[in-house]
Amino acid sequence: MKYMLLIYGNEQSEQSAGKEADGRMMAAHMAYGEAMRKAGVMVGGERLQATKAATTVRAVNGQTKVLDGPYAETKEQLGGFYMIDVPDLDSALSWASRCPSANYGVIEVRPVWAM
Amino acid sequence: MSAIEAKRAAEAVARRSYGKLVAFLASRTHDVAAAEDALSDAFAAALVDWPVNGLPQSPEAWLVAVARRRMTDALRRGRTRADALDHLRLVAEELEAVNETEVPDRRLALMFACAHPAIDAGIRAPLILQTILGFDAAAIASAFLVSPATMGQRLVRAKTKIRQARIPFRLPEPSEFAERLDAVLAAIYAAFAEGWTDALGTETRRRDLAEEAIWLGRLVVSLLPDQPEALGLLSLMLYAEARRPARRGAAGDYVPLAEQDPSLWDAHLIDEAETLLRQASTAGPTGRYQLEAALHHDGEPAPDDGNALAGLADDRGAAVITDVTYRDDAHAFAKLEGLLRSKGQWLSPKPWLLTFLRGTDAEHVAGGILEELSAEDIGPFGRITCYPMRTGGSRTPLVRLPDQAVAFPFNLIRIPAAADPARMALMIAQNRAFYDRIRGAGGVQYPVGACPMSLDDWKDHFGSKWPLLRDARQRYDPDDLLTPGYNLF
Repeated sequence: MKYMLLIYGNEQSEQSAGKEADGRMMAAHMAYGEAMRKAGVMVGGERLQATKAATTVRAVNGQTKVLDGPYAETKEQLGGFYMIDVPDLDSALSWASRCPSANYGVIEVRPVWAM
Repeated sequence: MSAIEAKRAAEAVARRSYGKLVAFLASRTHDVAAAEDALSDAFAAALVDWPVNGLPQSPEAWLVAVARRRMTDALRRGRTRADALDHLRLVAEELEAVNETEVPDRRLALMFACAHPAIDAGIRAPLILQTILGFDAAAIASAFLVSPATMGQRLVRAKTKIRQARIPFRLPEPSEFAERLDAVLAAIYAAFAEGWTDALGTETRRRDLAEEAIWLGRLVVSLLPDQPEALGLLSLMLYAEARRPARRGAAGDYVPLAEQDPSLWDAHLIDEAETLLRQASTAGPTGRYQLEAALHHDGEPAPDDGNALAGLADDRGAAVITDVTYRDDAHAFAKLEGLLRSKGQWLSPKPWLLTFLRGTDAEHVAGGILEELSAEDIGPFGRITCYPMRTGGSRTPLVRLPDQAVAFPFNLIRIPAAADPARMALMIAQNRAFYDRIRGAGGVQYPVGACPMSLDDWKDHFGSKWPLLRDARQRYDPDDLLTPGYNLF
């Protein structure tokens, strides 16, 4: 069963934390990803650029509308994701709780639609 | 076997094995709704088959075999080919493992799935009642005082979550076992409490709910005989149940434990509760259910305080904090409304008095007022609340609090049974007399209630904040639409 771990955090506080903190976080994520690969559960994952790089597209009556900025203006933003393949929700929650970003933001765990 | 005998036999199996069969049929596919549908088809088939062919040697295995065929038929019809094959394989694997007569008992795993942290806490108890005991949504809805449609939707949503998120059907890992068991016990206790809140003890449906919760408590104890908190919860429920006949007076008023007539207690249940509590206290660590059960213990010999307190610490980290969802919080009031409407008391006047007392005077002032109040003044559904709070935590600009670090909200939530106008006038005058006494002792009122106030009273109440309120009112409510009847301006 595939689950998406969506990583939400406060971009501003992440940016103001400085380069060193960012480096530590990246290293923690490398180790976390390695652990997932070793356990054979990793399907994929990426870190996203900040929401100021986001563009929102919508098609209204055949007309494409393009807007600068993210879809939702919230206190916490989607900053990255992992896709894992594990037997059930408890295993997915257990991986999510070990995600380094869980200490700073929240991880939303969503089952992937099985086609 | 006659049709009536077949119906009785099917009912007996349903009573004993419904949850076992649902748990078994759903344990691999995680599709509780499909398992329930298939099982109800199987029960319908039994009512046709058993009168003709006699009671099968193992009714459970017979029902599983029929339900299994229904499930595979439904899967073939309703799903894409690849998906159906996947599910059929799961169903087949599972069913091959059953021998002819014995259906494995996975009810505990099903209960852990129903009380999983990913399931909304408010729906866990209804979900367990439905999947383990086979209650229909309408019966659960009426016991929980919500509409059948709402309850039905919430149950469907929870089952969909179990299937789509693949919530596991198994016992939790040792590292989280205690916490997850606590969620199961909390759901059972919620069902019990729901049955217990039947204020007059006359609503059979809700009393039944308490009995069903005890049945579930017994089930958990039989499946996990060494878990002290499971024993503690069953003990607690039995103690309470034993005293049910004594807890209300002839007029439906509440009778405190110390004033109850012991001859009305069920001595057999109390014995059982005592035995369970003793067993729990030697089985492992003490938790909330054992502590709550121990409150009921009043047998001989009196407990040894030193012994009872040994090992207990003021551990704030272990505090039991029960989160309720916004929905549950909102429904808490809807329940009271439903209850009052059903008793014809919803539209009667409710002359409340809400106040804050100074911490140093609270006991004295509240005690004096309590002495002058009768049960009739509050009514069978009313209550009086009094508890400490820190005044420093309030950030509401216009709420006045006593000038001490600790204050006691002291609230007379009067819900009188009779709406006699003369009696109401007396209660409102009484509120005013109480308020004057409270104000004399440095207390203030929370200005929502039935206490006659003059403009000068309000000016005095708001003190230095009065101009702020007056200016705000002139700006935002120039036509005087808000707070009519309070003589505020």
